[in-house]
Amino acid sequence: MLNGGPGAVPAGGLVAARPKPVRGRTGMLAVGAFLVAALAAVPVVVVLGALFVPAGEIWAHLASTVLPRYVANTAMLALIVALLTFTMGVTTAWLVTMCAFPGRRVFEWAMLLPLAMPAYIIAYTYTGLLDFAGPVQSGLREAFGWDRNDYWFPVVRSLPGAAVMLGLVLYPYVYILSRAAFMEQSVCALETSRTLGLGPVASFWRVALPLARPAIVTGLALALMETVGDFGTVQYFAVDTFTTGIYRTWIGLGETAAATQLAAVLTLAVMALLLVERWSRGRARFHHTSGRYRALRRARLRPGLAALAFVACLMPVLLGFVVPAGQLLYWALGTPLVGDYFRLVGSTLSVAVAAALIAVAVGVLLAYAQRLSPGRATGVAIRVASIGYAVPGAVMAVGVMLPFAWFDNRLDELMRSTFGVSTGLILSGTVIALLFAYVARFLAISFNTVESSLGKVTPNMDRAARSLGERPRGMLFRIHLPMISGGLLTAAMLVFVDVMKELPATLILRPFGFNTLAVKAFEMASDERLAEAAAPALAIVVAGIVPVIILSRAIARSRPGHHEAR
Amino acid sequence: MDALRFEGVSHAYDTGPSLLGIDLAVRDGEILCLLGPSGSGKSTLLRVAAGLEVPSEGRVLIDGRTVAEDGRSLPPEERNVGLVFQDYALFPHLTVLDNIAFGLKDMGRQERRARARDILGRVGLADYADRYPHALSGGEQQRVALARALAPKPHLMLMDEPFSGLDAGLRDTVRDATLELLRAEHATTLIVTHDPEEAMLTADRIALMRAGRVVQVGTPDELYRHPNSDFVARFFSQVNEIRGAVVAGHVETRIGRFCVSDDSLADGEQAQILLRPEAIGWQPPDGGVEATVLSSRSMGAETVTRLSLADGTVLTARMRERPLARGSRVQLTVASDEAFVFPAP
Repeated sequence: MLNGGPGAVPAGGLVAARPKPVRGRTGMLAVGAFLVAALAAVPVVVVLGALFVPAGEIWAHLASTVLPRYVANTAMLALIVALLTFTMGVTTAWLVTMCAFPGRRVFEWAMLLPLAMPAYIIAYTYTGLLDFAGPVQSGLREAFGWDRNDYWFPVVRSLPGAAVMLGLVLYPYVYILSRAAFMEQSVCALETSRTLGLGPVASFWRVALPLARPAIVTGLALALMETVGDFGTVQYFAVDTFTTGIYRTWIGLGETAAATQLAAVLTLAVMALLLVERWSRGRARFHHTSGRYRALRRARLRPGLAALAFVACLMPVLLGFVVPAGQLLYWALGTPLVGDYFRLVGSTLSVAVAAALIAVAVGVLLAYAQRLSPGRATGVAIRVASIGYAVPGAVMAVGVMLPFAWFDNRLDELMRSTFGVSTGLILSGTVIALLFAYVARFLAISFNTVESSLGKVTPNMDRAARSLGERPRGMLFRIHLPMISGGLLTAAMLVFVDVMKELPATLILRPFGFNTLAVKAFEMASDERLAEAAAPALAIVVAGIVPVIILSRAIARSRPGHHEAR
Repeated sequence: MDALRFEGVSHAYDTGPSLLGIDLAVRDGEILCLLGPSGSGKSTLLRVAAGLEVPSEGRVLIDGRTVAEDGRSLPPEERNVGLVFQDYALFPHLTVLDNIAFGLKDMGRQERRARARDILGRVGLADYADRYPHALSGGEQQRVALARALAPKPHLMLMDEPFSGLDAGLRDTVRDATLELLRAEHATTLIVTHDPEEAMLTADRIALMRAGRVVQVGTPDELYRHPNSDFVARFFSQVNEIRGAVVAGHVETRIGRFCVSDDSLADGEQAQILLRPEAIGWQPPDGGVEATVLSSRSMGAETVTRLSLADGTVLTARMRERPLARGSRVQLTVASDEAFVFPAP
């Protein structure tokens, strides 16, 4: 008798103390998780399914008209963005990690700021700044007495212009990952290279860069996924790519089948990038040099070089964040708020909060299902649903619209034939469709965040709690919830901000008369009312800073070799 | 000529001084171990030799050539030293052969590969040339790291805890093979370790460091048998400590009389007597110092016995006899000539 003394334990107490079989309950959990994950995977499956639908005529038509232009433009855009993000991301990551120069500590996190700036916002800000009537060209004309035809000025609203805009806000992906790789590389590898006779520059090219290659490729793949999925920038600059093509074919021409075909091709491209990303993440394991870290001895730069390094790090932050944010602030302060601004904020916040809560709840459900009864079916469904994050918003919209419309029509038919009542469209064109698209698109973020924070609760902690007499429910509240609550909050915030920024899916799926800040900013900008677009845009940028803070704190905490090991 | 000389070398990190006026010479072809607790500066000294740290004061010479002086320092790539890290730091993106050929310069591609293959054969990994480091075991990685460092025929080999990443069983074999190769190459070697047993198994001479200074230099036997301070005596094994006052050049204690060998202790001063466990033995009761057995455990070849004197002093003895029964009483014998007498702190 361990507790209560003789007689306190009723007959059969020992038997009752054995853990109850839990199969039934976790079985339910697994089924529920599978259904939810499968539902979230529907849009991706629908769009990819279009590849197997014979569409001979549509294809011939597309191929003879727009397709070559879409392919060429998208590829060109991706190429320039890749070059820009590689150069900016890797250079700044190396400088900030390996060299000592004034301002380095600030740049460590400031380099991330452009992440808060959606590409379509920076695009119209620079248009306002650099257009013929903008302050820069006007200033030049005034200063030099030029006239309209006296000088050449780069055209912002062009394909290269769009690439620069995208490059300026996407380079942080490459920066974050290559910086992590540079920090993780055992300094020993670099030092060994030095003792084997290579100078610092040669060591960078022959050791540091090849070692960071998987991380750099991962960062580039992420940046390119955003690039090919971008809608706002290219639409605003009138560059024809797949996303604008889908939008125009669907909304403008009403040709849903053709739009779906385009969406399917774009999804294939994104999935190819996704494969590259996964593959190089896997490679990174082999490029791991050491479990032992030494605090970096940063090379102190001579004044001239230090100034160069400072400028090299300053330019991306200045051009990617400070200048556009400043211009937005200037516009916003000088323009009265649009009449329905606060209603706009309200509707944006409510969809963003709703989507965040649903995404986190679903994320928790999936993470627990995977933990308690890992099964093949659930695993596959989760993985397919996670692709949603890589799928461009325009594609996601198509993938949601099709099944919802199908469902509405079938229901309508059924009701009419049996009851003689028409139900019309009860799901498509409602906030439900919009929320569904958001959750399907951003589920991967919440799931991954929840999963990794749940991973900190080791199975042995569960066992320890159970052996100390805690019931599963108590375990959930006393151990799991306190340990993962931070992760849940992070997940909710990340989804919240992504929903706030989301443009193309909202544009296509929103109910009639429903607006978000992103849509409003985009519409105003498209109407050349740049100054009025500033206030909603600024709200999005401010919200976008939240994940930047979360990110930079996470990076600071996970830094290997942070403590002196000597 | 000395292969490596430190003359009054000092160095500081942002966090504080790490080396305080080191004078040390490594002879040609010698294997010298830098031994010391963590934070004693041994790794820093190795890094100064490699050119990875710049000394703030003093001079460093390799083969008679000054490589660091007055805060200026020849960069590592111009020193021709071989470096082996605890984690080996193999280049994961290169094959084993390319790793080894990495430092070979001023020769044709064919010649480089031939030289790399040759040295790879000598560490017994000829069949591994085209593998990648992640496919090798820890011991194999260590051998590749060694081969890579030796390939350019360095003036000096520097090894930072080269064996501590290996399992205990593997360590002895790898160490023996490494030493054999270093001797065959007649490579002057500086090895950093925190493990006194490893230093004794490896070194021709040991330099024991503490708080940025070299405390004592000598052969393993010299340091073990003739430590110049209680720090050195305590570093190599557990010791028994007895205190007493000096009277007429001797210290009288309850386990015997100990001679003060040098003049560091004047009459009336407090002394500490340090005795290694193997200096204590026993015999059947016949009127010597009595002790009670607290515990006695066989470690295989030896027996470790904890003994309690009448006044509660506890001593540890280590000897070849079989274990004694707990609580039994024995007479102690003390090899007083093996005792170390130092001023009490």
